[in-house]
Amino acid sequence: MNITRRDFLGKTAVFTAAATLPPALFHPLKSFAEPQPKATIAAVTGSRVDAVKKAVSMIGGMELFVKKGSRVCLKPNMSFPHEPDRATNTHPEVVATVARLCIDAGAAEVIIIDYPFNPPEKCLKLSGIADACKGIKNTHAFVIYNENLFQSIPIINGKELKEVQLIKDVLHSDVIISLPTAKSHSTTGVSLGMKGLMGLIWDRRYFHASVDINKAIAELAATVKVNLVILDASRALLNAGPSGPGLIDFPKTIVAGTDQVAVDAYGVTLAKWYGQGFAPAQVKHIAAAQQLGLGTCNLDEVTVLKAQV
Amino acid sequence: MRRWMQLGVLGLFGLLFALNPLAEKLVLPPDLFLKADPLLSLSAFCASWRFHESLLYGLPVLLMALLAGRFFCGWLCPLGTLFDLCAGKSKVGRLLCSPQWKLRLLVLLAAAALLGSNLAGLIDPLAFLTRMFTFIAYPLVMLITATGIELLRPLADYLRLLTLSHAQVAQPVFSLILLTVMLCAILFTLNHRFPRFWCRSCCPLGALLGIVARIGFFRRRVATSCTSCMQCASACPTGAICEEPRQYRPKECIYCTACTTVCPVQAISFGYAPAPAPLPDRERRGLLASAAAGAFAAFSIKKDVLAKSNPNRLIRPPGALPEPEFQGACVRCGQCMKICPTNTLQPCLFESGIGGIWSPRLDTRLAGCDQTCALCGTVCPTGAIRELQLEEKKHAKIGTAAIDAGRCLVWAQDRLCLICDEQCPYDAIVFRWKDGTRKPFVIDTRCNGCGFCEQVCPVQGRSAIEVWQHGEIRLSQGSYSEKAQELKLDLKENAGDDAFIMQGEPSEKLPDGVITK
Repeated sequence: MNITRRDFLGKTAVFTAAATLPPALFHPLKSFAEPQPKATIAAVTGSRVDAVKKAVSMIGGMELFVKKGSRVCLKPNMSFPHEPDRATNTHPEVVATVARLCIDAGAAEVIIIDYPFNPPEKCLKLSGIADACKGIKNTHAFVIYNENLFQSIPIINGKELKEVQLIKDVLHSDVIISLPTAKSHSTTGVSLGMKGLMGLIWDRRYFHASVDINKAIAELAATVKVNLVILDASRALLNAGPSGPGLIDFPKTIVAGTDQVAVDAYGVTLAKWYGQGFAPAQVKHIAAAQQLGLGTCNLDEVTVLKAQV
Repeated sequence: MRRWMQLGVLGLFGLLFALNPLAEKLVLPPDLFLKADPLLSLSAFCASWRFHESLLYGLPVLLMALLAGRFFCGWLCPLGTLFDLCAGKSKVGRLLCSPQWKLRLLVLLAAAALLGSNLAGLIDPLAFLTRMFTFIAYPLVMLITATGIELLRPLADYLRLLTLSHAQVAQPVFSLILLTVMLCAILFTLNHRFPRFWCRSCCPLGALLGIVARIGFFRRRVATSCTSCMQCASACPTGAICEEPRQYRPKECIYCTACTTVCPVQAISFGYAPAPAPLPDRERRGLLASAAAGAFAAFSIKKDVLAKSNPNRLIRPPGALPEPEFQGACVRCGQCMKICPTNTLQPCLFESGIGGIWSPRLDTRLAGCDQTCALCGTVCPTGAIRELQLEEKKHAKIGTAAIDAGRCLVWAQDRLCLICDEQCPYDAIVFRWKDGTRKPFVIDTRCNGCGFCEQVCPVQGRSAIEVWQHGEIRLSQGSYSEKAQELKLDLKENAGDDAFIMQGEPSEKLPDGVITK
């Protein structure tokens, strides 16, 4: 068969385009107008590893979310070059436990990602997450800091955001599990699951400098299709967040659920932020997410399954 | 054999350079070549009047010159090897200018160094080569690597080779790449036409070794069977053989042994021989003029207005000696800039005066100084940057951040921004209640100038928070921690300053992202 240069160039272009497009256009801020079923979340106190396992089993078990052969993307917070005792990153035991649960449920691969602050590789190392996940099969932890590993997607109906550059792995995974740690945040009040999703985007400055950050977080959370949130509130950084060092409390709780807003709302109630605490609806980005129909922050409408291990 | 040795040494140079951050774990120090360069260490010693171990590293090279003259130049010098490899067809070069120039240059450098200006690094072959590697080879190799990765990435994605599909390599950038490329282009073009013209006419290290060589005893010998056919003289790449082929100039000979190979009667050998009678030197005037030029160079650098009052931003690496001493000791090799993991170390152009070109400064807009790293001090061949433990390095304050309220999004535009605060490792940026809103302030005693605030400031162009050298701690000896204690610096990772938020009325306590009730 003769291949002409024109042929070759044409085919290369088509192939390249196909390889770089997201598998499906991504979840454009869909209308949540239809009534959502009452949210159920699990809150388990006790030792980290057991609490994670218990919480996941209480909301249906990992098999409910992770089908055999699926690609799972875990998004912990590993943004800071700090050791676990600073409570600025998700605890490595939590990340490793969730990764194991995914693999046991039949996941083909688990990718753990975050776009950390500087220096990236040290965040991966000092957070303890790289070491904790080293021995788990088909599990890979990466810090992403190269723009080529991000991909721009449009946000249809977005008010604050028109498009956002997300880490590609998120777009090409079957399951996305958010693994935030519970922290205060000097702009947004708290940094839990939805705020943590800012670790998936390339241009964070834009959020701070150009738009209403609280609404932007809500739109981002509505765009990224998070299948499950497991909040690590084994510790909570009460003030000086997100970077600390600050006062650390130990709610010793793991919260799991599919409703990002409800999990964050429950997280707000777990600690006395800034020496006083506040209600979930007081946190603007959580309230904004409820307004978008992403979930509920009214805990009276949420079934909270509690347990102790 | 000579070629193999040359290639081996060049390879070793490249290897030590490439493994730079890892090389501290190796047997050989990463700055072995620079340390072993007696010109650099002597010049740094004279200019800064500060003893450094590199003086000892230079001894073997001087000793070698004592035994066998400029053996180093012909067999070891990696720049010489590159010049050999890149020479044009004619290996026997015409002379570009008089071989005396290198001696004049050496005298100039010596005079300048004795008067406190270290200019040796600008033209020393090993410093030059290290700069060539730092500013050209290193970014180029990384660029090629990254391009390769990007080409393979779609395939790696498809095959789920995750490590490859997530591969990211640093892309260093430097401010004087173009200048380095231009200098190299000039040198190598000239070298193509006039092979080893540098070594013959310019190299001050060669001149230094040449001086020592006069008293050596491993020499070129010519047997009586010599027919004076002059073939050796025309084969000699450095013009070391005189009109009378039984004589030669030891300070030019690089022991390449080209003469022994071409001699039709095998009259030439190398071995023990007494020193030949010195050829007459008619150079006193030229050398005096060079010394005067060196003195004037030192004078014009020392008396540059910047030496007294520098309005430029000049953030030196942590642990850098006090400025005059630092400029005296720094040999402008660029090793610190190569090893810097955040790429914040950049070469000066004129920020530190005309004499400070190529010396390192931090570009804190480009990147901050990694607080878990103290590598720059470990590779400095002359100790211009002191080798510090992490705790000491933390207290080697390099400057203080200053907010430009006219540019700051919070101060000038009343926006919600806290990125500088978020990035500060020591909580030196705090929010205080002012004019009805919370506004960022810098607490100078908590700031060590690392510069991450400036790097991340979302204001485009010049940052709204900038690190200036104000408050820097530069010690030629003694402990930075103690000095910091004396100055009441508070760089501990203590509980945040949000305590202020918790005082006062509830309406003043909470971050903006929370509606107060």
